[in-house]
Amino acid sequence: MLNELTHIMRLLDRFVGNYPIFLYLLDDENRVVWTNQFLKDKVPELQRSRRIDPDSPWWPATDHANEESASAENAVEKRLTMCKIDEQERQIEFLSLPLRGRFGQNSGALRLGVDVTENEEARRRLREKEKLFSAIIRSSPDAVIFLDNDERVVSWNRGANDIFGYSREEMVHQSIDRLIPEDLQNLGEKEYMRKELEEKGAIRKYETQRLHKDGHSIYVDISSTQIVDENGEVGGTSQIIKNIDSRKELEFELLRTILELSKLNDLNEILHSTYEEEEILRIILVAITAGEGLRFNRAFLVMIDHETQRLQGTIAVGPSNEDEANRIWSELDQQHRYLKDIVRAYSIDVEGSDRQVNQIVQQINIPLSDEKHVLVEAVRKHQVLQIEKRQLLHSSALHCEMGDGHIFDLFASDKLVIAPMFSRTESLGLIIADNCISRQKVTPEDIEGLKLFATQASLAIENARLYEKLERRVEEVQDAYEQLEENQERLLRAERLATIGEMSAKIAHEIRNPLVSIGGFARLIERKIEEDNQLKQYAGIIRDQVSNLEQILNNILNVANPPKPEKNRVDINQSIEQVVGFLANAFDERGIVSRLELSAEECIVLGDAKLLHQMFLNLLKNAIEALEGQELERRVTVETRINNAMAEIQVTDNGPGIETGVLKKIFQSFFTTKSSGSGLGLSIVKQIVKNHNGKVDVRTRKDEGASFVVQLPLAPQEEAVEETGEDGFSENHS
Amino acid sequence: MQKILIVEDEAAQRVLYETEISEMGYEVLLASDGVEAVDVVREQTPDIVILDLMMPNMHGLDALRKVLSINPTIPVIIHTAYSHYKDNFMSWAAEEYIVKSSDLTELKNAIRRVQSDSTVGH
Repeated sequence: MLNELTHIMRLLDRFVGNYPIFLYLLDDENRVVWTNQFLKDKVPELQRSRRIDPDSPWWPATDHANEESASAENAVEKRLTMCKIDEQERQIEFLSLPLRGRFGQNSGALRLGVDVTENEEARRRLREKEKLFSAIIRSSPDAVIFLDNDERVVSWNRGANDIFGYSREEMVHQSIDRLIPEDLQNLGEKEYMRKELEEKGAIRKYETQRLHKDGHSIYVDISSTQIVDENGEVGGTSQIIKNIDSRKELEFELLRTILELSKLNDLNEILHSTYEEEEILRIILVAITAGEGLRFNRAFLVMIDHETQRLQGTIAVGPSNEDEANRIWSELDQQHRYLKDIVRAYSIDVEGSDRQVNQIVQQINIPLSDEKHVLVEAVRKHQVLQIEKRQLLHSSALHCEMGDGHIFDLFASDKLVIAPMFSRTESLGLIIADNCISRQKVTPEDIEGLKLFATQASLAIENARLYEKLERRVEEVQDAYEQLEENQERLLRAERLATIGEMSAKIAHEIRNPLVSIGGFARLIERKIEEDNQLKQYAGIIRDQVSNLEQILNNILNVANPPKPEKNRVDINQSIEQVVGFLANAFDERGIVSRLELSAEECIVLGDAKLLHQMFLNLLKNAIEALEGQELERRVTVETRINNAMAEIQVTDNGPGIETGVLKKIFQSFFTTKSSGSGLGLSIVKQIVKNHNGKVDVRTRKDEGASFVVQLPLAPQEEAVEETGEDGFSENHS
Repeated sequence: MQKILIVEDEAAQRVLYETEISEMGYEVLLASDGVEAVDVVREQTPDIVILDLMMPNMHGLDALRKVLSINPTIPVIIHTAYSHYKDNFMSWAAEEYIVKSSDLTELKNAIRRVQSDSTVGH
């Protein structure tokens, strides 16, 4: 049989001699009977007829092996050994087919060896990878779980244990449902995930919430894939679940910060919507305490008085108890949706709901020189401080005395936040805030918010102060300018009057002297000439003309040396009636219609009756002269009325009006637009009005006439005068 | 007969006053400036002096001082075209202050007042 087999093998060798397989035949004594060509080439020492050593890698024949192979009829045996081939250690897998004689006796073996070095290596790597994978899965902080098609847990790693609190034993074979919050189940989250998986084969980083064993919910992201076998059958799903609680927290934190910032931005906008410092202080306080704002219960403002160098409590806002707080804020919240509106709507009621806090804040008055005082410290160091009673009362570095007690007594609060306000150049003051009504903890975010807000508030206050300063400057400049204008006008007038004084003196001297002679002699002549002589009449004419001239000179002298008016009670209406009556002929001759509209009440002023009479006369003469040459109906109206404790006299003509260029000059001495006239009439009016502490103004429009308005202070009530007596009265008013 | 000294630099006015006042029954003495006036007062002892202020050589108020230093009790009527010397201290020393006018009634009244005062005084 071995011979026949050898023969077949030789034939076979012709086909497959160079295939990389080792094929050989052994006889019953383990002697090599035949080898294929490949083996012959690679392992020349394995020669025909040579017996294989028991310790040879080419299948050492052990008794045990023999017995085993003997017991198993025709069983193919398999063995792995290391052989040296081409100077390399190779791993060869041998198959051995025992050959049996006709009576079942051992008659040798056919062996087939295949170099499996590469295969084995791959398998080993695979095993290592498997180990690594399972190690990774085991040690992953993420939950890696496998679910069967019924969504029951098949595999549950340590990460899953850590995240959800359930052990492997608790979870395997259990439905994954217990991890899903009820509301999400009701919303059909599982169906959604299943659909996604079916359509896309995988879900990546799906963010949702899951339940921990103890019931609290965890933010997670889930990546899930379907597990498909080589036949395309879905065997289940894998889920990798990450705990993203801390990331979510960060996100929320970010969102909160953004909200906080936008809130600050809102407040900032409101703060800078005004330049009134008081209004800014109000906004600061309301913003700190509003529910939509910084949410403190109470806020107090302490400002630095730079004159006295002291911290002085200024104003505060806050309820005195919880009920009040709720009532106020819920009212405001209902009426106003936005923080801006709330801040605008809330007015601080120092006498009402904010009374208590304002009483507290008013008691703060600390010299800046008290450097160990905690409030002064905050101002000096530009530092936000959170102070607590139990710490500060035992501190040796700082103290918090306030009047007879300490700050915590005054505020009836154990914890206070102090935020300084300062500008680039100076400290402005402090904001003190607390939560003593709700007893809610002040968080680091609250403090950070207050700090940022204090900065904005400082800026707003600084701006307001700068603005106020600027406004004052502008006003000062304006005042100065007006003063300058007035002075200039006064100076011009004074200069003019001085010139007039000199001129009038000169004129008086130069003209009056010859006039005295002319007039004097005319009178002499008139007297000396007998009654019926024509010359007597001529002398009379000279006398009258000279008198007129002398009267003009007197007017001039009155301007230069105005007599001090006497002060008596003068009835303006009566005086005007007299003057108008005096001028009745003059009106008639010129066809002027005069109208009187006198006040129903008495218009009594303190003054010199003669001078006032003269003034009215001049005003009316001026009106008459203005109507000279007027074609239309000529009208003069005189009105009197009481306006603002002043007697107002208005003389209106319907003449040509006064040109703008002329208007400024009409009250100047010697100014006249008329061919005749001294140009003194209106300047005398002004002089007299001035002496009576009054004002004169002219309203005019071209071709629409002119209106002179004189205002004179009304005399005090007669009773008062009688009480004071005549002497006391003149003392008061002259 | 009482003597009145008229001190006046304007010749025309001197003539006018001389005529008018002598008609009142006075002996009229004349001076055309302050210097002359002082001489007349010293030499002819007038009873009343009518004194112009604005005059060449010596201002009327200076003349007034000199006149009063010679005769402190002599009544002086200042008679001038100016009104503002009224506030001057020296004017206060004069008995009367009359602003000139072609109508001499004021001046004549003043002379009569001064006359009656000094008569009462005597």
